[in-house]
Amino acid sequence: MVGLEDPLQLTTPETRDYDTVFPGENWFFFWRTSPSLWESKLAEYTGPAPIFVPIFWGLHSENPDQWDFGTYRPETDLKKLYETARALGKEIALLLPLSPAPFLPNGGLPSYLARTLVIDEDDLAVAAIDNDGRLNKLFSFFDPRVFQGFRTFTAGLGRFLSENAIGCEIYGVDSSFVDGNSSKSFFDDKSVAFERGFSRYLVQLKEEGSLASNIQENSSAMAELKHNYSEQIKSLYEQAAAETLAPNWSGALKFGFIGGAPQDIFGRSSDLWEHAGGFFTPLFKMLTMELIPSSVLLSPDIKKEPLLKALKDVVTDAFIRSHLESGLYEDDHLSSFNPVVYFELVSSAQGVAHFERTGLLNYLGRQYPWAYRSVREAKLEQDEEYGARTCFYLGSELDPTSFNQMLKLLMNGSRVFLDVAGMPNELEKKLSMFTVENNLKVETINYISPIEKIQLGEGAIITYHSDKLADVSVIKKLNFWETMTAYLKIKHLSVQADDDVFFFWTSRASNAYELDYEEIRRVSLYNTTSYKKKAHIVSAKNFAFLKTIDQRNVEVKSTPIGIDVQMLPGGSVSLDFGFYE
Amino acid sequence: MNMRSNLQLNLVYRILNEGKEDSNVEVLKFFSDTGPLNPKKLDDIYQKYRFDESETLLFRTLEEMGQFALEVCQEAGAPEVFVLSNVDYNIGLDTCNNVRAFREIFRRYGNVIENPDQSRKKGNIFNKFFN
Repeated sequence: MVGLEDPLQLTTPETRDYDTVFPGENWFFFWRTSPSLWESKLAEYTGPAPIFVPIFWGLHSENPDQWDFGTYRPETDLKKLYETARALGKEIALLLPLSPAPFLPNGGLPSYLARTLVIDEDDLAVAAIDNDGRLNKLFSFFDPRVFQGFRTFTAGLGRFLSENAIGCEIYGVDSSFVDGNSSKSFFDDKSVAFERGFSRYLVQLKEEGSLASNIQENSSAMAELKHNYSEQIKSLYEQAAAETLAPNWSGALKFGFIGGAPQDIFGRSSDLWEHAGGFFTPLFKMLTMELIPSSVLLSPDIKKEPLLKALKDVVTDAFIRSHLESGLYEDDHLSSFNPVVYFELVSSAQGVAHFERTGLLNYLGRQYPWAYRSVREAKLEQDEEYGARTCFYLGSELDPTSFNQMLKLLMNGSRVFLDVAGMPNELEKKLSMFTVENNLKVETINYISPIEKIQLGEGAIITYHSDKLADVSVIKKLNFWETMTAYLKIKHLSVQADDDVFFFWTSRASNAYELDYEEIRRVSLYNTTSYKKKAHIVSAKNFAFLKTIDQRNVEVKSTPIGIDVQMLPGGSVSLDFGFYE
Repeated sequence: MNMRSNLQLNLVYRILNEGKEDSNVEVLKFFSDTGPLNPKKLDDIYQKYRFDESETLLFRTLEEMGQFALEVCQEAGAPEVFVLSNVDYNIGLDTCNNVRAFREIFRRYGNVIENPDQSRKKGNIFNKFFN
């Protein structure tokens, strides 16, 4: 670590605080202001691009047989909006909700279709409080009338876009929230509308002969069927949008709405309860769940420092671009700061709970906070760098396709941790065959669980049995994962921070002025309390302290053993380190 | 209970397996205007009602749950607790359009259990004026 007497300090330009039409990040709620002000509002906007413009179905449809895109009411004029943005050189992307949207009245539905409230797992109706204190009740997308209406609406929208040569991209929005260690979609529902549809689904399966007679008694099988049914209906909405909006359609995105979880309504309805500190964990958890965080539901009273800085640090232009399906921005992406990701946890939503039980999430949360991702599959890109990834797989969830994907990762030099508990016998045999046929070196040790390391060049598959971890203490679980991951020799700076000091790491490739370094790592720290707090970044080989950025109510001191950060209430700072081999 | 005593308490419950022999009452939310109630204190009071290993606050009858709510209210020194079923909560929520209306759900649609200790205190204040 290179200690600097007076480290260079930089401050990023302050962007203006947006009002109700720009409720957060790059979201533009155009219907909240007069169309005569669209031009000035868009002209003033300096945040990330593209500007997200939600399509509010209820706004364009006051009765079932008629759409209004500016014919009767000027505030519905999407053509004018598109042309205004274009004339100003602002890129917009339309967002079409594919699930109940917590940021829209009635969840986005026209009032004539807002009939059955979404019901959550606690049998409570779901609603969200928006940034202006309005209560947005969410209505079920399982009502067949909603689907029919949706299809007709998107067909009308498609015709309108085509007739008016509106060429901007449209993304579907699956609105989600954080629930423990997994994300949940507002689409999921226990309402009467869902139950009726599910009953019809069961009858259909019975008629097809693909339903066991005693299925009703098997609660886990029923839960799986409900999940499958829910996913099928959700995909129908996406298919309908993709078909009817084909020329503009760019796929679906998953957004996480901070403050939008069903239980948040109780805290957020009380002035004495809501505290910005409580929104940091969902914000960072959304990163691990590959959700795009959105703060549009939070009022300006809550969105003050340091939460405001955290949002700006996380939801950057490059971050948004990285989620949009476009390879055009690869260079921009590399030269901008993006969240550091060391590990990918490949599993279904249920599998996340499995990683929780084995203590892995606890370990990663302590050692590498927010530097992992829960993903459904680990795709290998064609031009991917050799040996760049570390993935965790659950043998019990592997099928021949994901098994082959795992082997491809191994051959590409990735490190794979494989829990073989519950792994299908045929795949276990296949792995043994692969090992023998390729004459791979296998090392075996026993530490809490039998562990096998199968090495192929830089790559390795390390197998373990999670059953053996089930009844061991928390400390032992932590030690187990520390031992397992020590092999990876991850180059990472350790941060020791007081409680309620949040921090997260981003990195970017070094530029022409930073050739001494391979990459630049940035840690951003936030004191979410009204007390003084401190943090310490432990000095390590291969890292040099470069500068502080956006220092606010914080004192930074470089010492031979690391960087000391004294933080006043609400203080925040980012520190840049050069990394070299 | 880590709350200001003049704040109202709210409880939302649901009935599991309604109409069946194994019907139970589950507390879904129990909070004051300042936040969720201290789980440790709730658990201490709950111990004498506990009848299985459930991690949630589960009661055999509505009366038992009401008695529990009252004890919590007394321990907290709160004037009253508003008790609301999930069904009534959902009906109430359907009528709301903003935060202010939402806050009123518990008072408008819930059953109130008054803390007799606080009622006596109120009586004493009036006694000073009228006796």
